[in-house]
Amino acid sequence: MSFFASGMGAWVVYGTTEMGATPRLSWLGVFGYSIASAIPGVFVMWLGPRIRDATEGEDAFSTTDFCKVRYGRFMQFACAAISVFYMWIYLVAEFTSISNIYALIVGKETFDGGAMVNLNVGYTTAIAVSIGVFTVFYTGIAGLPASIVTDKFQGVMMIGLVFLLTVVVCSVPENRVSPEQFALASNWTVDGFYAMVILVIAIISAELFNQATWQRVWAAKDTPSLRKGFGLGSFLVFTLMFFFGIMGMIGYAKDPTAYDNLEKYAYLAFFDILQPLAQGWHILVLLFVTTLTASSVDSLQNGITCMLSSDLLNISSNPLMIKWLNRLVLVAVNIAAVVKSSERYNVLGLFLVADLVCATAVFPVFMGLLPKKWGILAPTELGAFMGIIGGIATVLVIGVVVDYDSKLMWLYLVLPASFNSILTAPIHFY
Amino acid sequence: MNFSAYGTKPFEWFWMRDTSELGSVCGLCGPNRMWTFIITPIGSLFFTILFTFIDVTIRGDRAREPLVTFGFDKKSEKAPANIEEGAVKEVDDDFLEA
Repeated sequence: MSFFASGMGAWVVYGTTEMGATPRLSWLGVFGYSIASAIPGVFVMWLGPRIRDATEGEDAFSTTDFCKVRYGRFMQFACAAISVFYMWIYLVAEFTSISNIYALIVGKETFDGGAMVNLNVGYTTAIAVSIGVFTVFYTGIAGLPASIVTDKFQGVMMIGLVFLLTVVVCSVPENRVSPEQFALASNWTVDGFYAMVILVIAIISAELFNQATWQRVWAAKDTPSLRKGFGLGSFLVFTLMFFFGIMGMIGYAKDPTAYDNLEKYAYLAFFDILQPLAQGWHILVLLFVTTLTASSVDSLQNGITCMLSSDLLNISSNPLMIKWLNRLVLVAVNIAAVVKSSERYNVLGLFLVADLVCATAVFPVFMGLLPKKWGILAPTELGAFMGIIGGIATVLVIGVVVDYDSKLMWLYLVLPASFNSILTAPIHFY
Repeated sequence: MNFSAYGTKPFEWFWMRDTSELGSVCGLCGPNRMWTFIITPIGSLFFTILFTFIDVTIRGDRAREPLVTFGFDKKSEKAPANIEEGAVKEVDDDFLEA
C-alpha cells in the first residue's frame, strides 16, 4: 500500500489520460504507461532483498549506500547525484501538476497562448507552497514513519475515491458514448508502440533510482512482507493507471473534434468527463489529487534526505544536529522545487529528461549485484563510473547523429568509431 | 519534425524538446526517441564492461578496491586498507549464496 500510495502522484490524472485521449497512441500508450509504472515494483521484489543483504551490518538506507559498500565513494556520489536529480524533477512535476489542477478546477487560466505567457502564477505558486509547507512539517517532525503511516491512509482513500468516481462518472448520461464513438479513440498504432517501448525503459530506469521506493525496502519487516507489499502495490498501480487511461479515451470519444482541433487538451481529458458533475464532486476530486500529491511529495522528501543520513551518522553522533541538518536540506530542496514549478514546465517532458539520465546509470549501478566470479561482468568502481560517462556520451552522439552538425564532430572522436557505427546503425537505417 | 535545435548544443538531446505542433505527447513518439532509450543503457553497459576489463587488466586485484576513502569512513578508521577488498568479496559471496 505504501509503495502504491507513494508512487501515485497528481501526475497520474495527466499521464495515462493523455495517452488515452490521443488516438495516435491509444491502447498501447495507455498499456505501456500503466505497465511501465507497475514493473519497477516487480523489479524491486527481486532486487530489494539482494541489495538489503549486501548492505547488512552497514548504516545503509538507500541504493547510494549500496554503491558505497559495493564500489566506493565515486559511485556513491554518481548514484546520489542521479537520484537527487530524478527525485527533484519528480518533486517539481508534482508541484506543477497539483497547482495546474487547482487552477483548472477553480476556473483560473494558467496560460495565455496568444502572448505565450503564464497567468495566475501567484495563485499556482501559493498552492505549491501550501503542499510543500504542510508535507515538510510532518516529514520534518516524524520522517519516514510519518510517510508510511500517511501512505497507508492515503492508499485506502485513493481506492475508495476511484471506485466512487467510476460509478459517478459512468452513470452521468452526458458521459455515455456509443461503440462507434469509442472506436475513434480505440486504436492500435505504431506510434503507440514507440511510446510503450520508451515508457517501459524510461520508467524502469528512473524508478530504480527513486530512493523513496528503496526506503520501503529497508523499512519492510522481512523479505516475504517486502515481496508481498511490492507485488500488491504494482498490481494496484497498474489498475489505477489503466483506469485513468480509459477515462482519457472516454473523454476523447465524447468530443473528438474539439481534441483534434486542440480546443481541448488531451492531458485534461479526465476533467472533461467530470464537467457535468455538481461542484461537490469537484471538491472531492481536489481532495483526491491533493492526497495523491501529498503521499508522493512526503515520500520524495524522505528519499532525498535519506541519502545523507548514512554519512551524517558517520560524521556526527549528535542526533539533534543530524535532525536539523536533514530539515535544512529538506527545506532547501522544497524551495528550489517550488521556484522551478512556477515556470510550469511540461510534466511528461520533465520526467523524460530525468528518465534518460537514469538510463545512463542503471546497468553500471545494478551490475554491482553480480558476484566477482563473473569476472569483467562484475564491474570495478572505475569501470562502473566510466560506464555512466559512456552512457552520457552515447546520448550526445545520438543527438549529433539525428541532426548531423560538423561543428560537433569532436563527439565522434570521443568514442571509438566502430562503436559509434554499431550503436547508431538503427537510427541511420531508419 | 525540426531537430535543428539539437545541432548546436550537444546536451540538448537530453531535453527531447518537442518542436512539433502536436503537443507534449510527441516527446514520446517517433523511432529516434525510442532508439535513444534502447541504445543508451546498452551503451553504458558496453562501456562498463570495457572499462572494467581495462581496469582489471592494468591494476589487477587493486581494481576491486574503492578509488577514494574519506577520514570519516568507519571501515577505514577501524581496519587496514586491504579490508575493503574483503568487504567486497563478502558482498559478492552473499550474492552468490542468494
